[in-house]
Amino acid sequence: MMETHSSTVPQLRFGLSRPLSLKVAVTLAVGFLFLGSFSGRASDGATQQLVICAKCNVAVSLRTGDGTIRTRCPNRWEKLDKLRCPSCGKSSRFKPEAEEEKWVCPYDGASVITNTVQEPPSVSRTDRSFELEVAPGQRATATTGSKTKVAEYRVLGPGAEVTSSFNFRRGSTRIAGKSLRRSDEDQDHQLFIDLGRRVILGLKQSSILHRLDHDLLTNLGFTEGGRLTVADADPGRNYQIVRSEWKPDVRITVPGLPHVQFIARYRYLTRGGHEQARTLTHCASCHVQAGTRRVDQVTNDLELGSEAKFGPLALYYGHTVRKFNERGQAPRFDYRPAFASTFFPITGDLPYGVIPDSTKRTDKLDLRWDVSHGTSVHAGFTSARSENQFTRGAADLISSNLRITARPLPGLKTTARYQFYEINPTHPDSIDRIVHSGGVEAAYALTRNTSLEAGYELERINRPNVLLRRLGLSGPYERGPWNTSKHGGKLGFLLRPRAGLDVSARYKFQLIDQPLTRLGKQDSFAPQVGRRPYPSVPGIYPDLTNQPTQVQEGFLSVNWRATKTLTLSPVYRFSDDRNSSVDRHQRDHLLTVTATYSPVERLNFSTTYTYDRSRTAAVLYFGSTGGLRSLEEGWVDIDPGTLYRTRIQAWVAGINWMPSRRTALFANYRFTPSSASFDSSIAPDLGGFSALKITSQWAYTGFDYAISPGVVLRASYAFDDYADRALQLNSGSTNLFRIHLSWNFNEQRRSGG
Amino acid sequence: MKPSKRKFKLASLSTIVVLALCSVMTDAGEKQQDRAPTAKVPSIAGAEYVGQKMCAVCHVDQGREFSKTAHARIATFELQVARRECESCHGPGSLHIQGRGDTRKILKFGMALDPELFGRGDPSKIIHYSGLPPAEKANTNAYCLSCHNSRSHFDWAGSRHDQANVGCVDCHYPMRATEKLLIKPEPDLCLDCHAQRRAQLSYPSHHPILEGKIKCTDCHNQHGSGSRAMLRQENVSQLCFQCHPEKEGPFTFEHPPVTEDCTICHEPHGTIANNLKKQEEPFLCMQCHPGHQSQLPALKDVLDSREKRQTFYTKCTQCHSTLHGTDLPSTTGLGRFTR
Repeated sequence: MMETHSSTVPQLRFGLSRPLSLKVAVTLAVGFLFLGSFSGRASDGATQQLVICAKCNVAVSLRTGDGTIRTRCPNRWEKLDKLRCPSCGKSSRFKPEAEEEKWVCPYDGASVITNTVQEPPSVSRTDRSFELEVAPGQRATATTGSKTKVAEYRVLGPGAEVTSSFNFRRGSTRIAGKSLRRSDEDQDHQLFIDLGRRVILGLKQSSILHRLDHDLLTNLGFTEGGRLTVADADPGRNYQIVRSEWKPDVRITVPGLPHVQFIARYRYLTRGGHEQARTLTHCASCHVQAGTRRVDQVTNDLELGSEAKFGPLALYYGHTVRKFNERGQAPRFDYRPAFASTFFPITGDLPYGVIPDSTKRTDKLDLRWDVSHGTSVHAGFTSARSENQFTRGAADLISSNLRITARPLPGLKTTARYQFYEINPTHPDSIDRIVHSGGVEAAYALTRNTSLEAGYELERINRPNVLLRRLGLSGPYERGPWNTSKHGGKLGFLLRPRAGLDVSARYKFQLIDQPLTRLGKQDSFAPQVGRRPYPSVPGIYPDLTNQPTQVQEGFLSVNWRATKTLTLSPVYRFSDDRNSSVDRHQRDHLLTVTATYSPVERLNFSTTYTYDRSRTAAVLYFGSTGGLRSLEEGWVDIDPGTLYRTRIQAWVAGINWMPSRRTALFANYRFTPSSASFDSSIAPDLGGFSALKITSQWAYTGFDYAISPGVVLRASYAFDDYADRALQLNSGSTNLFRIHLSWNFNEQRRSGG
Repeated sequence: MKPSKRKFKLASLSTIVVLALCSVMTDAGEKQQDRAPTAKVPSIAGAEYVGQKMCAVCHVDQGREFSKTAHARIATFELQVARRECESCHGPGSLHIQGRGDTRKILKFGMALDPELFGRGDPSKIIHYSGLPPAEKANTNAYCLSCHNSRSHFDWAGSRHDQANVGCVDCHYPMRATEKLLIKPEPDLCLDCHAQRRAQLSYPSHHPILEGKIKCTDCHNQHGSGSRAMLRQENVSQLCFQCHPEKEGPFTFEHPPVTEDCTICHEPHGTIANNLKKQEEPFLCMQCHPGHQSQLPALKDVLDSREKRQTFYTKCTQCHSTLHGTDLPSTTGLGRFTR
């Protein structure tokens, strides 16, 4: 009665003399037949029965309508010589009981039952529903000061707003959508169509407004010597762009190939508006020119791919083509040096701030293989080429990664991973990069409520053609390798000492050899504090970088449900970055405490306080003679104790309260004072030029009132404030009132309204 | 060889490779018969399957809510395990029914997450996946992953979330018809655990995540990826170029940090300094670049006057405005990022 299903693998022998088109046709036909032979029948619906182990709930065979049994597990897609009890693991011929509804393993008595494969009632063809919710509203705003930061991503001014959503289901078909429209610049729409799971279509459209800075260049324009002039060609303009994106995608499952999906994704991204563009004429006719650049950028992404699952093996292949076009005209400037010089060969009425068109082609292949329970292998390969259409320069990217995860012992999870990528630009001055990184991680459940984790990783970045130094005043640049090695490790634990209390801690360290550095001429440099004359040699400054050679990071998180109504969650993070070769040291502390309190069912408070402090000490070099040289001596001022400090506090509080079944009240407040200072002993006033002292506040309150079932009135008020107390830039505040009337068709119908 | 013939040959070879791969997989499948299944639903000793209709007798609201979810619409051809409707996840329900709804005799997802929907039973007496000890979540995750093994989940095993014992049901609620069955929408879902990111996203310069314009998952694959920080691209720069393609080039004059790693200068979650700069100019720039000094007499003593310091040591990008890369040389003919 039980028979082993055996597929006949066709012998693929094609002579070279046969027409290739015939070969392709035959091959494809055989392929479809082959795939269909074991995949198509699994979807024949109600005519089949699965034989399923009652203990592990995994199907072990498939009985078709004609009484034959395919011994292939749909879960693992394994062919079985004979049924094997999943419970005891012994091969057996199951003993059929009465009416063959339940089969029992003769070895350990584990039952294997049959189950008719049929559509559940929830997706029967008679099931049909339609849901609709519409919420029109009106917005009113009042703004003082600058809108640039206080409403960086928001539309202002009075206007109508509409949010809506619908959901239509009929059997296994679903069409759903939701929409939010505040203005042409701020909208978000989604449409989802599911046709019996065979064809799944999605469409997303969104538009975001982004207000941009307008630098008035007021700090420039000193007149001493009369050489530097500043011109803002469009001083009164408020710059902004609108980022608009269309993203349709479709997934198709072809009948006969149920485990293969064909995927097409498209993205049409536009960035339109105006932004500030700046340029500089060098030296003699020093002139900083700011102008308006029209931004009209279009990005087209088309991805075609396919995803296939063959039991334990899953594959994805995708090809993506991207085209980026800047249709806006670049601004122009008449570069006229005050005197003719071979140092300034670029002159004339020329464009600046040109953004080149580019294309990018990417091929991706991903593969996952579930070797056994807890053991899986994932491999990924990427090949990409991006081309600059303006210069025809290109860069190739090749990437691959491999990850193997296994559970060799109960409670032990181990992972080994390796990633490689290579970036190879065609331009001779660009830096090639070859990156190898790998690591191992392990997490072990020491007890039921305690787990430990540890890991080690190694990364090597090879840069074979880094600009090392210039040979002589006008000689060629010497290029050579600059390779970075990173060794990192981590230790951590996750502990649940009692119900409602979770503690986790982690410590990470990293040692980095030769991080990315701007190379100077170390051997001729003797750093000293104060102004010192140096001999006239190129590059008298040392190697400089903001990258660390040693990193330590600690993390402690506690989540404590103190009572049934109160939860406390403090999180503390500490990091320490050092680079002794450039005397740089950065230390950060970040503490966050969150508390939530729900004294009664319909009332809850939550508050979060964050304290973020950072301190960076570095040696800065004021003045240099690198590159452009004169016949005179150069000099460098060295400040070995420059400090950059930041301090940010963020306090967030919120309350939600439902005093009655019809009414809900909410209120939220966020207060974020922040400051940054830059202290240099050589020029104490430098800090004043770039210090930051910014305070932002946000308050949001309102209520929902159910006028009748399905009809809800929502009114809200939001206040935003951005204050720059140091530079007095972009300070402003907004008041925003919103009122919406929400109408839920279904709730109203359910209540008989 | 003519190009058309070459294409045909290429197509033919590709097809043969695919078929050979399928063949190998089939053979491999035969050899895997002794392997254990990838997932086991936690068992309830002695219980047997009763069918969905029995469940619906009591659980009317849950059934109604479930019928709106994607799980209820799954077609038979998509199934990787046996179709048992409610009992696929909750386990066999006979003892639960015999015990008149004894909640100790059924497996529940997310009891602690939605008392409103499921009533207010005592969570300590209920076997529910969300309340499992961290080390035991892997089994329930494996059960979900036995079906959810599409490309976006390829890297779950060994991912940061997997290592930290995050359970599928910590974020997803299989019974509720929300977007992607999430227990709450982004970004709150992510920020409930990543509280420090919540704070950073409210700093003066930030990506519009709290504003709801972009999502955490636009950049991170929460189910794991082959690159660090669970990024959706091979490295940080490639990720940033997805939305900022104008900075990809490749340019004739490149600023090495742009092609190396954008986070050398930027902190994408939030900063005080404008444009997500880690530190304000000129400090950020001067850690790698010595400050300006010209040999021309009028500008030589650059630090002598406040005006000159204000010009040269306030905002480097006022003059070096194309520092992300440009194809246009400066007036000196070199790549100073001033055009």
